[in-house]
Amino acid sequence: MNNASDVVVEKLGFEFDAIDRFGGVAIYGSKRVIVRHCRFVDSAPTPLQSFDRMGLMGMAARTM
Amino acid sequence: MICIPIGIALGATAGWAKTFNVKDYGAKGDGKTDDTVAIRNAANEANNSGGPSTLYLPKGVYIVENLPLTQTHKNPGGAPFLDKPVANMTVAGTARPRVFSSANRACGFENLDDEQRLRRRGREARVRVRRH
Repeated sequence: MNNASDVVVEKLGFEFDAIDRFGGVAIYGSKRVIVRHCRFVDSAPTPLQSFDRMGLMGMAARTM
Repeated sequence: MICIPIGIALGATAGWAKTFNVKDYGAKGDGKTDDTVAIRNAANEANNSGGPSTLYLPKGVYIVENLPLTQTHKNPGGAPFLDKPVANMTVAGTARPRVFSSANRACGFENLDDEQRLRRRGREARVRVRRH
């Protein structure tokens, strides 16, 4: 999700089945985003990489 | 100062928000079918409705690409994008979802009692993100 505003994400589970790098759910450049009652899971084995891996990532967000 | 943006965001959950069920747009939620385009179409319709909207995902497992709610002027790889950035929208499942775990791995978000309680309720919606 990018450049979003006034968004609520709720009551959802996210299964990423292998995040290769950075975030599973990535929110870029957004404002007034609420994430509640959610689950973030990556059930795949951790790959042998040097990248950060995150279930939820906010970047350049103004209000989360 | 802080209350204003939160109030605006929560306005999307008010009763007068239009609800757009992704299954009305062809999403299967069967854990096998790629529902990216259906969810994108539902999100587009909700986003273009001109007011607060709720993108509703009923119980099920939805397979999506990693960009169903993304808007951009660029379109690398031909992935589906929205017409405009998401605004004033609630993306909602049906209940607090249980922890999803594979057969051999414990994810450890909740204790066993909580997991069992949520499993009995059995009304969760899950989104499985598939990447290429």
